[in-house]
Amino acid sequence: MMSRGEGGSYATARSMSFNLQDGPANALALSKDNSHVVVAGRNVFKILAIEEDCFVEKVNLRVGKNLNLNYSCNDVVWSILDENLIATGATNGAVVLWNLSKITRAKQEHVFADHQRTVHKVVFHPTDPFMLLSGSQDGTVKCFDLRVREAKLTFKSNSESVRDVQFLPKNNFSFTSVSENGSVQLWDVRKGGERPFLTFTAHSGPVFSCDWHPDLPNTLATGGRDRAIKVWTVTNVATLDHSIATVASVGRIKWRPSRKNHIGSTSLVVDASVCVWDVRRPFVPFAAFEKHKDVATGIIWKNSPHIFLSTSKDCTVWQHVFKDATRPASKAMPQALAVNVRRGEIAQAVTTYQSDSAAPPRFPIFNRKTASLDEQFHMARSLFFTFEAGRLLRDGFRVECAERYTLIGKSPQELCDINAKIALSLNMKSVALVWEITKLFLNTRITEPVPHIETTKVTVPTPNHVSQAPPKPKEDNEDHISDDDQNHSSSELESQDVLGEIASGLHMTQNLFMSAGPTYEFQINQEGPVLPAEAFQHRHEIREGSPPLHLEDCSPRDVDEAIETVAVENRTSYLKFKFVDPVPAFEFSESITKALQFHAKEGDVQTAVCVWLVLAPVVKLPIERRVLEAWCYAYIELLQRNRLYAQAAVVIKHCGVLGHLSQESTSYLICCGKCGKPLTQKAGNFCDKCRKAVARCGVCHMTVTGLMSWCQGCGHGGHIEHLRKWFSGHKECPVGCGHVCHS
Amino acid sequence: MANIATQRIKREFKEVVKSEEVARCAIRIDLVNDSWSELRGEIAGPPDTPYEGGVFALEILVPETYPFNPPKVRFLTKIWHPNISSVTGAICLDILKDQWAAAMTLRTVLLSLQALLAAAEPDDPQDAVVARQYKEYHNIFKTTAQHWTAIYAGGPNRIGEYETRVTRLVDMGVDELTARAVLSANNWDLERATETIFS
Repeated sequence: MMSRGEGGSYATARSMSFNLQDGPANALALSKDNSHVVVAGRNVFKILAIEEDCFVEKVNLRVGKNLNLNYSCNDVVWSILDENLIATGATNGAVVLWNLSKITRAKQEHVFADHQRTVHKVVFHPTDPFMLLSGSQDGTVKCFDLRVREAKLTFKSNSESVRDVQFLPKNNFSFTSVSENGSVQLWDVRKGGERPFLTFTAHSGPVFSCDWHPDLPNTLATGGRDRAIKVWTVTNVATLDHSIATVASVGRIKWRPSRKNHIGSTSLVVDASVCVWDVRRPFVPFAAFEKHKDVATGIIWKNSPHIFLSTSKDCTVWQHVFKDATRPASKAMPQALAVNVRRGEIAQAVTTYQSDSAAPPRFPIFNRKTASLDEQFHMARSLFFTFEAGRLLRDGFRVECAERYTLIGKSPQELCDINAKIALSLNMKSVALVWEITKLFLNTRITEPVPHIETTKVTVPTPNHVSQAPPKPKEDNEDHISDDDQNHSSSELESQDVLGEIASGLHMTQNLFMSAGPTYEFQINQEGPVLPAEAFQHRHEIREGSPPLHLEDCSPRDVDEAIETVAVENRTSYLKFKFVDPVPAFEFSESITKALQFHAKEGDVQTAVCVWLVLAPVVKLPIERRVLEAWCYAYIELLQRNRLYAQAAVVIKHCGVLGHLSQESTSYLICCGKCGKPLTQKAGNFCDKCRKAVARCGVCHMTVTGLMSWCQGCGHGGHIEHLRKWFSGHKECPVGCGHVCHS
Repeated sequence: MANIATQRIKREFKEVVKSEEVARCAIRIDLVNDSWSELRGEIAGPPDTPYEGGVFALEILVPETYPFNPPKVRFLTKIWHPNISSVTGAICLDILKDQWAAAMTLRTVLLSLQALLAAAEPDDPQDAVVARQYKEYHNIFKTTAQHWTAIYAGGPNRIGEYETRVTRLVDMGVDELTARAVLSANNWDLERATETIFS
């Protein structure tokens, strides 16, 4: 019938694919001599010849115009004994027998219409050429005798659906079926279809596939929707040997031939790769084949541990060769580090390397072979350490800060002052600095300093200049914070360095950071401006692509240029002038915002939120509400984690953006103390069941709405005042239960 | 009166008025004045006791310190009972003294008194004479109590024989109340009663 190519050997085989075009494939089966593969799906049913470096379509079994559902295959199997015999399980419940030796185009030989619903699996008996098993959605397994052309036996699995059927290897009478209720059943064909001789629950969900180990007796693997491949030893009872956690539901599994511990699997959803697992490593596949673009539906080993074929919903058939596999384990990071923020512990796991020579051969059975790459599997050993810090220094400081900070109730300047001292006392210099700067800014804003020039040569900047020009140092600061890598003149870069350190709070002198308030000293030629022309030119060159240069508009031209000269010529001193507060109405909110953003970015959300809170009454900082909310949430969470609920409440109350939190997060459910029935919101303190008000004061018999105190011994209580008064004269419970509450 | 006391008394008054005992006329409560500090209670004599059929009036004085201290209760109706003074109507009941609990209300007090009528405690007497009679001459006690109930509380069983003995003493110029009290205390022995009065 067909020309027969030789199945490729491992040495020459290579990964190759074939596009089916007609639609996704559900299953595939190899011919007896591994030279052909049959691929079946809802709309595809083809036989492909496996050539050296490609697949060649030989026969398309979907013939005729009016195709019926018999062609819509869920599973296909090629007879092990008769190379012309193929059986398919159709979605309409038919089990169809195909005879390739037929001369007609239609090769359909016989249709067994015994099943009521979709047939999930068909399988030939390994030794009996006339026996065929099928498992169906109708919950039955049927055994067909091909000679009499009818179902010989029906096995009722007592479940909704049988997903897979497999004969036991080296046993002619038994087969196993797995079903959607998670159970695995073992049947004996001779005993008929009433009861399985062994049933066990393998998965906590449908089992989609099972496979007996070809070499190891009694070893069964099952794969299910609970994202696990389980390996069982099945004797009189089933014992679980290994469990592999996969990323998605397991569709098909197939043991790798000639390997004791390797099993290939496909996923039913999500994961398009075909994985080969070493059962001893339950989380990382031994090898993965990521050729398919959609989930693989069928997998079959080509009589060699190194080559297998798979089909997929992406309408392709692939031949995979092991040398093209990816090895996820080799990519996995063998070290891990985790930090427990709450308790200040660090856990670390590291691999301990063993020299290969020292490692004893684990599987002597395979040892004779040359150790190919996939043979090398040895248990990676990890050491696990935890480190405990008595108290994380920085974190502790934060907590103490949070406890001691004053955020409301005083003028912002005072608050800044107080908080700066707190921060300083905890050796958090950078934070203290932020507070101090904020305070200085506030002072500036309020006192509106009058600019004055000490050197006669320099004129006072005119007001409109002021409004036009933002102050120089501030701009530097901004540039720095936003990490703009722009070209600056040397002087700019210098100042940037210093300011950079200021912004990050490492060290700082106030007058460098400040644009208003502190004094700036510039050296200018006393005799008057003598300007080399080059200086002017030079400046323009530098300016390209850089932000506007300092003091350009706020001082007279001559001074400006003189400064630039200085800048270019490395601060040769010609002229000295001094001015204070060049920009009276300096708007600092932007700088502060940048500083806060910097701190928040550095993980110090505390400073950001606290400074903002302090400033909130007087200054509206241009911070996006969304950002602000994020900060506040983060800070509140930190506070609550450290059980600083009062401080968290203050933040919630005063931040203004999370006001709803104080309503949301304080919901509570009240139950009647007598009958335990939850109180409805409508009825308030009245229990519907007891027809009585709950939480009554034992003394005045009124409902307690505020603080309630009660005896731990007898559970009776009431208003604190009333109880205090009662126990000043009595020892027993006011309710008269006889309990001596006050001893 | 302290706010808490008034509040409580008002609630308790309502509670009594709404209670099912009032519905079957077992207890009753009335206001004496607007201050809520003084109340008038009534309890029916419990059935199957010598007090059956009688209605006993009570004076209830609510102290300023209520409910930290118990209300002061005494019988206005004369009653022959070991735990109640036959002269003053003072009651010996633990809950009205040291066993008072703030959880108790006017209703529970009235019901407790009703229970006290049904179950006397002769070992912890208020009126020692009655208590002795209760223990030694229980039948006489019962008829005496019946008689008192009939005379003062509107009970059904006036004991005719006792009535004539009282009349005898009254004829001798003795006040009727005194005559009855002395006769009762002397187990209705006319001679000893006369002796007691005139000695």
